[in-house]
Amino acid sequence: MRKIIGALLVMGICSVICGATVGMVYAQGSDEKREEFVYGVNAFNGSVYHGTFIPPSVDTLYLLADEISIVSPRTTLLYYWPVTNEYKADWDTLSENVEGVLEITSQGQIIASLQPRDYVIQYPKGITRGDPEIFLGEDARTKYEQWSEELQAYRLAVAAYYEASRIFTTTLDDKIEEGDITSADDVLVSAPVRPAEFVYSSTKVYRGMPVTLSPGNYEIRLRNSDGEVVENSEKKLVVFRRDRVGVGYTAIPEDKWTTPEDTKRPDEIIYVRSNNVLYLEPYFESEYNEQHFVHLETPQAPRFGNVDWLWVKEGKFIPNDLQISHGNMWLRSISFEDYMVRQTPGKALGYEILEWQEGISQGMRARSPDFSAFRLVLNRQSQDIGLHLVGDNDVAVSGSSRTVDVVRDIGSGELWLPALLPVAVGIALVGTRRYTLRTRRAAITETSTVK
Amino acid sequence: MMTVGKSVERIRAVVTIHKRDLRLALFGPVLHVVTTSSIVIAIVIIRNYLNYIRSNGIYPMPDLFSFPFRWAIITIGVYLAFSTVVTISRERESGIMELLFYGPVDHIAYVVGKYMAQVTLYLMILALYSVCFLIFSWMAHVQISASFSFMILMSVFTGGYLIAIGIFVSSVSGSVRNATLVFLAIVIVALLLQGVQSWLSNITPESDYYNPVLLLQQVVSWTQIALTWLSPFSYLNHGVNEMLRGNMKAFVGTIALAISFCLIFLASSVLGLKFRGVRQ
Repeated sequence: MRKIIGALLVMGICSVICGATVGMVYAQGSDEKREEFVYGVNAFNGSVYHGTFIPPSVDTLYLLADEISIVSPRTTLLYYWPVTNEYKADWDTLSENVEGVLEITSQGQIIASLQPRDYVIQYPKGITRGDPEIFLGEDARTKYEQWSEELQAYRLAVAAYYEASRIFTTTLDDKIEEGDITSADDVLVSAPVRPAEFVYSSTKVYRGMPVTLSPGNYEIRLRNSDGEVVENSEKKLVVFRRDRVGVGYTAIPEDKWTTPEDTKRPDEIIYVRSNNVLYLEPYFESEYNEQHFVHLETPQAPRFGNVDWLWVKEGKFIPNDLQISHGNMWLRSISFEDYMVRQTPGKALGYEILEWQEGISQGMRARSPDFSAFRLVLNRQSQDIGLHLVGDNDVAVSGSSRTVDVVRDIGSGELWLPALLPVAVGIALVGTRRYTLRTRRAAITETSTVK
Repeated sequence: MMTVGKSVERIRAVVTIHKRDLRLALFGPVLHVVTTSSIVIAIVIIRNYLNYIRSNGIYPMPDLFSFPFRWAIITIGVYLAFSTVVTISRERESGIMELLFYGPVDHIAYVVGKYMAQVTLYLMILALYSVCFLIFSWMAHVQISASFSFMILMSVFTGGYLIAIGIFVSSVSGSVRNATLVFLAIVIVALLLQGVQSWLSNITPESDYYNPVLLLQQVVSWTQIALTWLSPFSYLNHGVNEMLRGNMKAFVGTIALAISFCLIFLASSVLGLKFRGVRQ
C-alpha cells in the first residue's frame, strides 16, 4: 500500500513540475529580444484608458463589460525583465500592426468578427479630471485634427503672452515715469493675462479593434487574410463588470494632514481618538473582483488563489450635505467647504488648515483650494454616530454610510485584565478537580485505615 | 427492535466518550494555558490597533475585533484538533481503543463521541472569548457590531470542520508521531502558504528559463487555489469577508460547504478507522 501511495505521489509531483514548466517557460535567456505577436490593449478601467499588452505567456485577457476597449494585434520585440518578473515590449524598435479579423467566440460559436479601425482617446477636461472619450473611424481623425488645432492655438497664445509680458516688463518703468501707473491696481489691469492651462489631452490616431461585450467568458483569435489563425493569437477573454458602487472617503485628521486614511467599504466603522477633527473628502468608487481588475491593468501579474474584492477609487464630486445621525435620529448636517493648508511660519514644523475664505482674509495668496471636504469635530459625545451623504431628493446616497466610533484611550496594563478571565476559569476548574481528588483520596485512605 | 436497541447503545457510548474526554480536557491545565495564550495574542493585536488610533487619530476598518477574534479562535481550533489527533493516536498505541471496541463502542460511536467532546469544548471556549471581547468593548468603548455575531456563528462551523480534519488524520495514521507530523504539516502549509506566495513573488528570478522560483510560484499558487476549497481557515476568512460585504448568500453557502466537508471528513474517519483497524 505504501509503495502504491509513494508511486502516486511521485507521479503527481512529476506531472505538476512538467505542467508548470511547459506552461511557464518561454525564452531561452533573460537578455534576448525576440519578435513576437502580442495584443496591445487600451482597456477602460472605469475612469481612464489603461494601456498594456498581452504577451504569449499570458493566456487570458480581462476587459470591462459594456465599455469600449481597444485590442490591437501587433508584432513587437519582447524581452524578459527579471527585476519585475515580466515581459517588456520594445515598441520603439518594432511596433507593426498585424492585419486580420479578430474573431470572438463564445461556447464554440463566433459572436463577432471585428475589423481594425482608427481610434483616438481624448480627455477634454484633462486626464485626471474628467471622463475619457473614444472616437472611431473618421471621427477619430476629425477629433485628432481638432485637438491639434487647439494645441497649436494654445502654443500661439502662450507665445503671444510671453511676448506681451516681455513688452509689458520693459515698458513698465517708462509708464511709471510718465505717471500712467499710480497704484498696484494699474499694474494688474495693464498686465497681460496668461492663457488658461491646456488640459485637453489626446492620443495619436492608432489602429485597433473596438471591443464592447456583455459580462461572460469568451475566446479570441486573429484570422489573417489567408484564413489562418495567427500563431499565439488564441486567448481566453473574461469580460466583467463592477459588483457594487459606493462612496469612499479620504479621512484627513487635522493634526496629520500628510497621512490621510481611506475608508472604502460601505458601512465601515471609522475608529477615532477623542477630541479630534476630521476632514472627509468623498469620492465615487466601484468594487470589482480583485483577480479580474488587477489582471485588466497588469495582465502579467501572478494569479492569486483567493477570490477577493477590490474597491477602486474613481472620481471626486461635489456632494450635498453630510448628515449626522445617532441611531434613527438625525442630529445635524455639515456642509461641504473648501480648505487651504498653511505652513506654520517660523522654525517649528507644522501647518494649519483654514477655510478658504479665512485663508484669503488672513493674507494667503489667492489660489484654488487645497482640498474640499466635510469638517467633523469629534469628542466623547460623538460615540457611535452615523454619517450619510444626502442626495438631491434628501435621501441618503447608497453606499455612503459610515459609523464613527470614538475609542477611549486606555492604558496598556488595563487592556490585559480580560486575560485574567480564562486564567481564573482554569484555576477554578483545575483547583476544584485537585481538591475533589485529594478529598476522595483522603476519604479512601481513611476508610482503608478504619478497616 | 434490534436496530433501536443498537442505536440507544451507540448513543450511550457516544455520551460516555463525550463526557470522559470533556472532563479530561476541562480539568487538565493545558487547555487553559492555550485559551489564555490565544486571548493574549488577541490582546496584542487589539493593543496595536488602539496604539495606532492613539498616534494617528483614525483607523477605518470593518470591525476592530474581527481580526484578533479570528486569530484567537484559529489558535484554539488548531489546539483542539491537535489534541484530538494525539488522543486518538495515543489510545490506539496504548491499546485503550482496542479495549473500548471489545465493549459497546463501535467505529461510529467512537468518532462521533470524540468529535462531540471537542466541539463542546470549542463552543464553551467561544462563549468565554465572547465574554472577554465584551469586556474589551466596554473598556475601550469599541462597539460590537452585528457582523461580530455572524463571525462567531461562522467560526462554530469552521472550527467543527477543523476538528473533523484532526479526527480524520488520527484515524488513518499508524502512530502518534506520524499523526502529529501529518497534522502539523497540514496546518502549517494552510497557514503559511499565503505568506510564502507573497515572499516568493518578491524574489527576483534571474531568467525565465526553467527557473525554480517561477516554478515554485506557480506550484504555490495552484496549491493555494486547491486549499481555498479545503482549508477551514480560508472558509472562515471567505465567509467573514463575504458577510462584511453584505453577501449573506455566500456566507450561508460557506457554512453549508463547511458542514458538508465536515460530514465528509467524519464519514471518512469512520471508514479510515475501519480500514486502519483499532489495533496498533
